[in-house]
Amino acid sequence: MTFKRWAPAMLAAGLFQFAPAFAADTQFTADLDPAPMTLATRPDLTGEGTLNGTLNGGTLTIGGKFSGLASAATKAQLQLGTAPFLQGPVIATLTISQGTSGTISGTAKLSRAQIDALQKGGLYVEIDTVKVPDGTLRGWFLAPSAQ
Amino acid sequence: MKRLQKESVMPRVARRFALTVSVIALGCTATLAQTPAAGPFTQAQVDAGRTAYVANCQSCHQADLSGQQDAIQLAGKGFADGWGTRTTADLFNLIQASMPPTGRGTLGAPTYAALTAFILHANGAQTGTAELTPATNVRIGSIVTGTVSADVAGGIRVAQAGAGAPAGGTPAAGRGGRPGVGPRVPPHITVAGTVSTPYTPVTDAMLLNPPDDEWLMIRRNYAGWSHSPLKQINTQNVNLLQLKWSWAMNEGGTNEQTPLVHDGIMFLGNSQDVVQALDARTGKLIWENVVGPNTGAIGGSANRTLALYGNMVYLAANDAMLYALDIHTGKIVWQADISDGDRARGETGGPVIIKGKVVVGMTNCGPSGQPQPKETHCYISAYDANTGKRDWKFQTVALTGEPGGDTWNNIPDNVRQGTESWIAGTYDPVLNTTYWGTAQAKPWRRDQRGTAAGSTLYSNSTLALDPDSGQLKWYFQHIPGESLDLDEVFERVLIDHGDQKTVMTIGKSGILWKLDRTNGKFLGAKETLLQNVYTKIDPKTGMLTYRPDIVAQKVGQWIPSCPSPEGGHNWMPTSYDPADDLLIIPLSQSCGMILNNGSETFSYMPGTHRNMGKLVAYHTSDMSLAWSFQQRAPFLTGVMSTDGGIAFVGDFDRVFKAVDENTGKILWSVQLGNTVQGHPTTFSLDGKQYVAITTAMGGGSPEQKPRTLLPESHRADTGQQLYVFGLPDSATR
Repeated sequence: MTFKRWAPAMLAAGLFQFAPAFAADTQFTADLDPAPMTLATRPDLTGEGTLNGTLNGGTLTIGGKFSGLASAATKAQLQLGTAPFLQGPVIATLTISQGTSGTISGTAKLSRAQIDALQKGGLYVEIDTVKVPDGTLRGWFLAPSAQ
Repeated sequence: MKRLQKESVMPRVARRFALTVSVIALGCTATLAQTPAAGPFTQAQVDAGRTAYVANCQSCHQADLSGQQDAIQLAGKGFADGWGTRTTADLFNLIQASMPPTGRGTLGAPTYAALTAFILHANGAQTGTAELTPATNVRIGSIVTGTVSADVAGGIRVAQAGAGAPAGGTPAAGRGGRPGVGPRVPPHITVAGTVSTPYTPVTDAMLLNPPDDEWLMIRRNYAGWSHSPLKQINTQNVNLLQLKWSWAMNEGGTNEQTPLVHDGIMFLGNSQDVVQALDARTGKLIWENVVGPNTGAIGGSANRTLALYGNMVYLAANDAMLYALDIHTGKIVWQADISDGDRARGETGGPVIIKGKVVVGMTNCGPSGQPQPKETHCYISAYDANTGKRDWKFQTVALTGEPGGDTWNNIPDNVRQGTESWIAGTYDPVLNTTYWGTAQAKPWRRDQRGTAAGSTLYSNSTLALDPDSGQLKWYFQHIPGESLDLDEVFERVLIDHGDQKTVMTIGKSGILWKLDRTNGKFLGAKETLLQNVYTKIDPKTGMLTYRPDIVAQKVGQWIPSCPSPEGGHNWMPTSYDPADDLLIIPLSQSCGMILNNGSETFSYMPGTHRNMGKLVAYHTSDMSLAWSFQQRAPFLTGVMSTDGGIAFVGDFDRVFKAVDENTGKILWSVQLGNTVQGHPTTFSLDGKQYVAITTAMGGGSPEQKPRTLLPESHRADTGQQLYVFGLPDSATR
């Protein structure tokens, strides 16, 4: 399932790359979930949210909301992994409300390799907070068919 | 079928991305100071911590702090590697938040500080003059040496533990003394009674073709189907199910039991190896024998089933002793030592009777990575059902000079650990072959155990053994060189498609495997949930390709894994309905970061909307998905299906339910007293079908992960109970 479940999205990406400019957008969604935790760290790793990602012309437009953080959000970034749950370097910084709830938005121009990673569920958004500055919530973009 | 010991070449795309991957590394290799600074704790705290440790921790983490199963190693190189870059406050906070499992946070800050001090002392940290407090925040790598302190290395002794320590702290208690288990009270009848109703001895013929009305072995038949031909309870009336009787089971320890029923008598194993005979019509207790070895220690291992044969009921106890009890009285007829005096070993899978032999596996075969004082390894062994005399054993670790002995990267034989068989095997009488799974090598991570890319035979394999001799007929290693605590030890289900004879199994990775059970040839694999550990499964050989950072792992590096060591799939077995060719599989969805044995953090699996439980049904002929649904709580029971078109399953959040076997639609559910955990069974008496299930506590990853990830699920610390359901009398006439 690891690869087959993303096949529709990969097919869509292939069409996108060779299709004329008026090709339909490709949609992705992500749940914002707490970073890996223990019973000891769980109190600081609260919160939830959802994200939508629209890929058009190599540009990923991100919008979403979050709530329930244990401390105020400080930063949100789009980052590159190779598959769901794998982490990697920053691609773009996003705009985020500086509170325990609010919205996230931003755009990122993706390279071919980054688009490939997106199709494989590798691109994710990380939200940092005052209490957990190295990642409080993370959400990997998946094609709706992969969820 | 033998498999090559090698790492597969990474696909081009994966290679390209591997260059950009930056795996979280909260700490690189722990840098231990040559001359550590004095520890931030006092001798008085060490003494108090030792006493508290014996009372609250030792039963799981062992008298020498070496850990076992999911109880992490607390002293030695494994601890130093995992904790060197973290702080005393991290350790204090984790212990306080999570321990003891049945009373988290209840010991009070001074005791948690003392426990922290004692663990640091056990790892070579020097006593200082300042008291350790919750606010003390010293990097652990700066004060520990990585060497177990002399007073702990051989196991904590009673005099060390102080006056308040239970006598069970001695590592030499009772019958050989299993460290951490507690004093060995001799087995004794606590309720005397006699089965007075006519009892037909269980024969080989009965085990080969179990009577429809009965449940004689863990998964009902030798093929491991967990399926009953009973159909009085069906899709049309299951919504009428009502409680017929209930029974409070022994509290303490881990309970994952299978109620067995023959001739109207239910034989019920309890935690801490208490065996009972009950009237299956009423739940009235007939006799009880407290076989032991536990005395209330919270860390008791599971006992998943008893076995029936002749006029005896067989118990493979937690300390690797095997007992035959008279079914009429519960009195011990014979006992045999499975592990040749090594009480640190255990047995949890339960026995299976094959051609007059009691066949058992073994567990607790060394998680520590420390050289063992006596060179012992796990094995599967068989005993005469009438006398207890050992007939054969098959060692599951390949040693130097033996076939497969070159797959351990030349590490010494006495540190080749793990490869437990902690789930009962299945049996094909036509092929005269018994099938067993094995767990991974220990320590879990290959960087810690030093086996590099070695496949570590016969870990994480399917073994086909001759039940007459124990000789290996063939093996198939599903996951060579496994490194993230992803067992492939679970049930082997025997399924035929015409002339094709297959054995199917699924492990923590969530990969469903199909093999030719005549020769071990790989026939197919199916990923049942998200996994990110392997980038490729060779469709012809089943050979897996690891993610690059797993191959290149370094000590002290956190490695992400989906699924987490909760599995994917775990000990809760599948059911198989031959009429519909449906294999129904309970799955769990979580991911984790793995540092070393037991040092883990957990998270929800991407794309699951925080649903940890997943139930799926596959057609085994072509491995196509029939249906699937997911829910918030993971499943903590096996699945039992029936000819009534129903599958029963229970979950962590106390719900026991019946689903339509062909659609997955929920037809009936009830919320019970605590986590529904165990193996559902069904039987019929006087023309009435019953369904039995236990609620229970204890266990490893399947209990630990949801405890962290389902904060809204509140459970009592007790509630081990047997429930028996049936239809109203009006519906059975």
